[in-house]
Amino acid sequence: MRQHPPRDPSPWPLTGGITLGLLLAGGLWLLLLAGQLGRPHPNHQWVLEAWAHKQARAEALPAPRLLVAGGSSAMFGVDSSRLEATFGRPTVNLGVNAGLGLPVILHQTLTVARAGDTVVMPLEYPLFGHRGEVNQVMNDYYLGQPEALLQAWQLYREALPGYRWLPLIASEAFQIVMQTSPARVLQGYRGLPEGFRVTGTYGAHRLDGHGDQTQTSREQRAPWMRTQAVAEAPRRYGAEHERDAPGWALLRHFQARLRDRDACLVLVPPAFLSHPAYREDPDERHFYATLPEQAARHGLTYRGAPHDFMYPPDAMFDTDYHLVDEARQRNTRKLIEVLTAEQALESVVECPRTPVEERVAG
Amino acid sequence: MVFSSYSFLLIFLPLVLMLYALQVHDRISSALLMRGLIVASLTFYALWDWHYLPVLVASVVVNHALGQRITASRNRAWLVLGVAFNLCLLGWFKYRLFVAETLHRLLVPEWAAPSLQLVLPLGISFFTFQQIAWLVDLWRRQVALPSLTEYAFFVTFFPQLIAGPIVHAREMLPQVRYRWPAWQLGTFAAGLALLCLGLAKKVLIADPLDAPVGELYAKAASDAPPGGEVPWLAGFGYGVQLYFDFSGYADMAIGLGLMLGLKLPVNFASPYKSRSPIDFWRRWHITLSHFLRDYLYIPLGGRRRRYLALMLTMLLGGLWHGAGWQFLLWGGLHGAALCLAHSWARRVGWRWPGWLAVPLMLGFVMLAWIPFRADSVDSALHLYQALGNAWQWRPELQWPHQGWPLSGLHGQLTGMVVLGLAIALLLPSSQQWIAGWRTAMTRHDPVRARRALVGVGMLCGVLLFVVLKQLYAQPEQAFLYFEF
Repeated sequence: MRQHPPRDPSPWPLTGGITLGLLLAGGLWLLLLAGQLGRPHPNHQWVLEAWAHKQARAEALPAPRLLVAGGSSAMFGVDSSRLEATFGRPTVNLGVNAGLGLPVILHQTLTVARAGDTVVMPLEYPLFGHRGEVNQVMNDYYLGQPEALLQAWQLYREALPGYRWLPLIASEAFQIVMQTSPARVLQGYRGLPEGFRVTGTYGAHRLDGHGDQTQTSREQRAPWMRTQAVAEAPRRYGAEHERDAPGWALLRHFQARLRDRDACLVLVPPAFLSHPAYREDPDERHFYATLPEQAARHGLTYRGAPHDFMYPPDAMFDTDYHLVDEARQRNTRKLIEVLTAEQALESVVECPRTPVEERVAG
Repeated sequence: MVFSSYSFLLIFLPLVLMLYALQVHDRISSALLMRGLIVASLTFYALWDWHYLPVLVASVVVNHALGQRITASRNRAWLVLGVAFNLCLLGWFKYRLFVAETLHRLLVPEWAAPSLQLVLPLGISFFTFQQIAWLVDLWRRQVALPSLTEYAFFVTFFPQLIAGPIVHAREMLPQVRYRWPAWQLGTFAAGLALLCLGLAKKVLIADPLDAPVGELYAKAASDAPPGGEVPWLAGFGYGVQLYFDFSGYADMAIGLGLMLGLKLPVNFASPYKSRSPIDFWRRWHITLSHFLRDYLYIPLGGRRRRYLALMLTMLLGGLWHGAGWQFLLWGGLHGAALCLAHSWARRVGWRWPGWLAVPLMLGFVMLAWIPFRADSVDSALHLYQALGNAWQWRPELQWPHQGWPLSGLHGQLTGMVVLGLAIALLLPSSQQWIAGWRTAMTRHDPVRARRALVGVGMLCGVLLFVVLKQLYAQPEQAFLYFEF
């Protein structure tokens, strides 16, 4: 009997199989990821210890205080005891790591701020343009501190109008799921190695009583540190910045939350490595020159000109945001000048409304 | 654009498959499909570097014109001109710097070294060889003259354009002339599975080896004396990386061909299971082996001048891979091994038992990869010299880490090599897997065929997820054979 060739089967079993395979693999990965959430990891232990140190210092001080908040540029670039002596206000340096991202920095500061406090924020430039990109530092941190991720998402929901927060949250979740490596998950399950201690340049063991970084003199800077600090190609913050990035909405919301408890926010330039491109490239020059103006349009107070806070290579410690101790004094002096220019610090504490804010409030 | 990229997998390939689906559902003709695939292939090529698109197009047009002359006049001069044209094109782009540097060193070393810039059009080694083979086949009347469209399709078909397999017109053109595409779900599914397997080989095994292997070879180029384990790690590490990268690419190419209704030739058949050099060259880069045999070894005399023809073929084969003396060294090693194997077979005839032959052959092949990967003969020799340190566990020779020789980088590399070798030696080849699944998916029993389709689909889904996840976090990495 002649055998007829088999009829081509329906494509649905193949399609169904592919879908099932994708769901199976994706589901298993999510389970593995979820199983190690909240486990400690060596990479961010120094951040947790540094933050605990600073938080304890802040809690111990009576309000009204001066809170220096931001990333590690603040930690390396501000002499808090000098600010304390100049303004007669207990001062604590809350700066830790800009790599943690704007939501984490803002949330951490909000947990500490009390009535009457002034938050001085030398915020690293890319944070103004925060738009939900999860870098490696944030990824690691969120896996170890999942509550920080939920707090960040809560901030988005409060700060962003309508449903603008939804794609941001979805994007961050997707990034974390896709860019976490199997090795990182394995490390999460293993936890901290026995006898693990934070050592090296960063951590609570290198902070003074005000939360400032110590042991950062030129003498203590190893040659490789200086090389590393100046090896970075010039940043392209100006070219990459988006005028309506969610970072601005987060800062506005942050300011509003501070005002609700009678506290105040002053943005100032961070200490940063100078580069000819930051004055010669049109995009970069425009960005730094107009940043205070941009902040004012968002109803934020920005004191000082970014270009004035850029320093030569020899002033840098180990990255293009970290100053050596000798340069820290110069930076702190400039900070004091901008905080006291035009009006006394007390006036800044009163947070006078700018004309833009009055229009918004109206 | 590479196959293992988001842009290819999520944009380019779906668009191509949509075009294919239009023809399968009789919305467009096969001729239009062919033209569409030519445009897609040229776009694929141009996305890498559009500056060299004219080189590819000119090569296709000129070769076809020469083929017309060969067919019309039957004058051997046209064949010679055609082969010379292709070799000159290859020589100009690939070898002029090597020739200039060699002549400079030999004749006028006191002059400043030539400072030519060398930029290689992608896939030039492959599409010139493919067209040389076509011209010779045309002369030998083994293939009829195709139209320019068919010929352009044959040369530029994107799955095999950049890094093979080297396809013969007599294999490919009959497929497109008669009932193409003849849609069969089982064939499509087998192609998809092969594509996914190839992706997994490249992204999950080959790509992670790139950095540690690169670090080993970079340090070999320095003056620091390497420890005894280093040449073994360097050879085995690169051997595993190259195999999974290249055979992964071949799987993807063949898989894409099947998905588009075309059968491309197999290029790898578990080469690391070889028992002899002769066996190895029947399993490694099979289409290149056949090309070298048919168009170089036999014209050079074949069995009549076996050893001379073998050595010359392998030296030129080495040089084809790269313009450098280290490639000649690699080719020479394999040529010598082949001569030894043939001599042994003729004079002694005793076959080595598998348990001895396979490890010996594996060791030879892996150590022979050292000059293939090294940036110069000096670096390769520097590594070979370290073989003498194998039995000396002096701490100062444990480099780059003191103490336990398999710590850190070396430990990581050893683990990856062992995993790669276990897969290469213990599992069936991807072609064997696919052959089995294809039989199951095209069974007369519809229930079993459906089950097989679901199973293959699930495998593809799992592999696709894992590969896409891995690709998300890592930069696009070109295939190693793109450099050739």
